[in-house]
Order: sequence, then C-alpha cells, then structure tokens
Amino acid sequence: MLDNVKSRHAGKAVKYFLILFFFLSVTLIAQDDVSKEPGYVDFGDLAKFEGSTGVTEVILDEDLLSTLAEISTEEDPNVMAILKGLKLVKANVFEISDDNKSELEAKVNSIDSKLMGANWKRIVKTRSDEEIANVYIKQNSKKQIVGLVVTSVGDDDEAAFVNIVGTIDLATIGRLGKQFNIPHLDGVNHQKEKSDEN
Amino acid sequence: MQKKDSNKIDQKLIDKIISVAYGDAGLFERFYVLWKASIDKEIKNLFDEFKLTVKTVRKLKKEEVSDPLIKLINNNTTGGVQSKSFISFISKFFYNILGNRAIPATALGLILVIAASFLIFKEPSQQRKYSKVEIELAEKQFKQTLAIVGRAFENAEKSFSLEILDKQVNKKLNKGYYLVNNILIGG
Amino acid sequence: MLSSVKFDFLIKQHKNRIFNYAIFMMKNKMDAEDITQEVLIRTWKNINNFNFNAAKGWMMRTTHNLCIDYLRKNKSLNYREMQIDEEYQKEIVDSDMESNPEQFADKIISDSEIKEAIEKLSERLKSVFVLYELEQFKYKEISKILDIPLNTVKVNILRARKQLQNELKAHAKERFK
Repeated sequence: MLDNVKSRHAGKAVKYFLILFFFLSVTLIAQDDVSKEPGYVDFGDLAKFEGSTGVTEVILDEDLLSTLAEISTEEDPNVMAILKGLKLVKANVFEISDDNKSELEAKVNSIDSKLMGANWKRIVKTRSDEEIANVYIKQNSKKQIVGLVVTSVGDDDEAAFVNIVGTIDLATIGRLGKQFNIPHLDGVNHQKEKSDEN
Repeated sequence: MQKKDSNKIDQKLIDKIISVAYGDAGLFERFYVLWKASIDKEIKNLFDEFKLTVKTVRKLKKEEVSDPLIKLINNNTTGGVQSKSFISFISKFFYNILGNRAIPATALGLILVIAASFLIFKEPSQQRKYSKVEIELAEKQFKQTLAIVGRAFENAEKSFSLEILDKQVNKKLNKGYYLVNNILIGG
Repeated sequence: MLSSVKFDFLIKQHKNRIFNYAIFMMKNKMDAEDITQEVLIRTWKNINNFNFNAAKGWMMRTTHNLCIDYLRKNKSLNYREMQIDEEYQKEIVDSDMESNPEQFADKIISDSEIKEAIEKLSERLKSVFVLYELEQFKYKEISKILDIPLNTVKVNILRARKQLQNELKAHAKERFK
C-alpha cells in the first residue's frame, strides 16, 4: 500500500512538474537575449554624440563571432581562441570636438559610477590633461571574466565605449590589442558600420 | 509510571506529532516536532511509535477480488461478451493507457508538442550565412576593437595610474614597471 | 459496445478499492464480496450516467452506503460498535498519549494486528481512516462520499489515528505481559 501514498503525491508532482516546465521554457527562450548576460552593459543614449563629425559603431554578435572563429584567415591561434568564447563585441567611437568633449567626459564618469555600483571591477584608470581611460571587468562566481568595458576620451581625439561579453582571457586580449596597434579606427564616416543586421 | 508533566506534551503537541508522523504537516510543523524530539526523549519515543504505526499501515497488502467473482459480475452485467470491433479496441487502448488521466495527459501532451515545435521550428540563430565582405569587415572591426582595449592598457602603462584587481598582486609599483604586464603578458 | 469497455475499465480500476473498503467495514470477506458485487452491478446499470471523474466518488459512496445498510440490518453489531466508540472517546485524553517504549521495543507491528486495530475503530472513524490512509482519497472527496463536512473529515481522521494508536498500545500491552 506504499503505492497509495505515492498516488496522492503523484498528483501534486504532476502539478509541480507542469509549473517547472513552464518556467524552464520561459528561461530557455530568454537565454538567447545577450542583454541578460552579466557582462553586458548598456551605455545608454549615445546618439547625441553622433554629430556632424565621425562616428563608428561596431556590433558583432555571437553568431558572427563564431563564424569568424571558424573561417577567419587570421593565422594567430590566439585570435581564434578569443573569438570562440565571446558572445558580443560592441564599440562606439566618436570624434571629439570642442562641443562634445565635456559631455563625453561626463558620460565616461556616469558609466564609471554605474559600473562601480554594479560590482564591476575597475582595473585601469588613467587621468591626465589630455585623456581619460578606464578598463573594467566583470567576474562570475568562478572568478572567470565574463565582461570587459573600456571607456576612453581624448585618445587621438577620439572617444570610445567598448563592451565585450563572454568568456574573456584578459592576458590574451591585452597582448593582441598591442599587436593590433592601429592608430585610428578605419572608416570614420557619417554612416554606421553595422555588421549585424538585427 | 511517573506522572507526566502536562505542560510537556499537551494536546496540541500530540496533534502536531501525529500530523508529522503521518506526513500531513507543513514544513514549520515538521521542523518544530523534529526539534522537540531531538531535545526530549519522551517526545521522540512518542513520535517513533506513531511513525512505526504509519509505516505498518502504509505497507498493508491490499486484498484482491477473486476472479470467479469478477466472472460472475461480468455474466450478470455485460453478459460476459467482449466486443471485437475496432472502436472497442481503440477505446480499450485509450481507457487502459490513459484512463482517468485522459484530460491531464492530453493537456501535458499538447504542451510538450507545442514546446517541441517551438524549439524545432524557431529561427535558428546559428545558421546564418555571411558574405565574404561581411566577414572581412567583421574581422577588421574585431581587431580595431581589440586595439582600443590595447591602447587603454598601454596608456595606463605610460601614465602609471593603476588600480589593482587582485589582492595577491597588491604591491607597490616601480615607475618603470607596470603590473598589468604580469596580468596581460603572463609575467 | 463502448459501455462494456468503459465498465471493464472501471472494474479494473476500482474493484479492489471497493472490496478492501468493504472488508474493513464489514470485517469479513463474504459480506465484502456481496457488497462488491452489488456495487459493480449498480455501476453497470448507471454506466451511461456518469463520466470517469465522477465514477470513483460515486462507486465509493455506493459502497459506503451499502455497508451502512448491511450493518444496520445487523443491529446488535451496530450497538456493540457504538459502545466501543463511546468508551474510546473518553479515553482519548493527554494521559493516554504517553509513550511506552518497552511495549514498542520490538519495532514490529504485524499486518493482522494493524488490520484488527483498524477494524475495531468505530464505523465513523474507520470510514474516514480507510478512505484517507489506505485508499488515498482527498479530504474533499471523502467529504462528498460520506456526506459530511470537510472539518469533520479532518477531525475524524485525527481521532482515528489516536484511537488506532491506543488500540495498538492495548495490544502491545497484552503481548508485553
């Protein structure tokens, strides 16, 4: 008659299973949204900085990044290794003018406050007359880096807001960054260079 | 037997003990009784006695109705004739497999079918094809973004303004050195 | 055609449930078999009048009512049961619920002891106990089957559990002697 005990609890078990199944489905559906990732940062409204001078926006989503990882002609295996762990690379670069410099600096400071309040770690902070630059990282419970943010103003008359989301090997990224030491972003123009059509 | 301290095991507590032993109780009651049992031997013994009873009750074997009686009943009702039509076969299958659970089983089945369809037919995000131009541009932009990151570290190296991440590397820097080298380049 | 399939299914699902309930109420298999047969025949006669969800409750209610009818026919038995009921009602007090670990030391209660103890419960307590503990009906279902308020079901289940425990203690005392 132990079956009898089970039969009453079985009814409850079915109910709980259905509820669990519902929430699981919702979670699975929500998982595609990269903005829910802990390493993702919304920089807010940057449209006002898109003045008459140059602006560049880069958005490389997971789909594109993994395609790149597979077929890129880049020979450096480190590049491939980095690409595979990433879910999103986004960058907004603006040309600095007298009109927007102070606003850009204010933006950098507001992002700084936002990230410091949201458990991001600032690992680089540069202040000088000519420029401001900050680098932040977000770590998960296993101390892996799952987000990287760079904000800079004044570097070669450009302001940049970069967010990289995914599993990040900071050492490799830094090394590669030095390797690709390109003075200016190519194609600074009036149009947005969006690679993702979404 | 010693006179029992009536404050120790009052009617309310007994009711709780019974509830917990029979599996009816809520979480709080369960913790309360188990705690009480852990600090008072008499309560524990009472609880164990009830649990023993419950265990035995739940293990009782059910009596089975004898087959001759069922045959007799069938003869007095359906006449003992089993229909061999296809509809009866399907009905039998339906009743025997799903039985009283037809409605929840059907509902569950529908939910599973809908969920499976969604997962199978939802727009695949991994299968998009990119043109050569798009790939080249993406590659270039990726490197340019990394360059921005690299420059931020390089500038920091130059201006020696650094906030240390890890306590283990929390030491004073010589102006000629830049700790991030150890982090970035791997020391 | 479909009626016989439906009936077949209902027999399979509920025959043992009916039979076991009747055994506890009637205290003997022969009467229990009579009741089971009667219930199933009545089910066949009403096969087209209820759906599956209602069948279980209906059949158990019919079983219970038939058991009561049978028991009432045997008035002396009924009288004895009422006496037992009153006697035990007085004894369900705090002092009875003291633990007697020596008596339960062997940690075994046989099936026959338990069955006997359940059978000794008054008809009122036995019906709720058997339906709830052994046949796994819910409070609401029992309330409908026995046509008693929900609170009464809960109170009677608690009383039945206490009385059963007392009964077993009395048995254990005898054994211990």
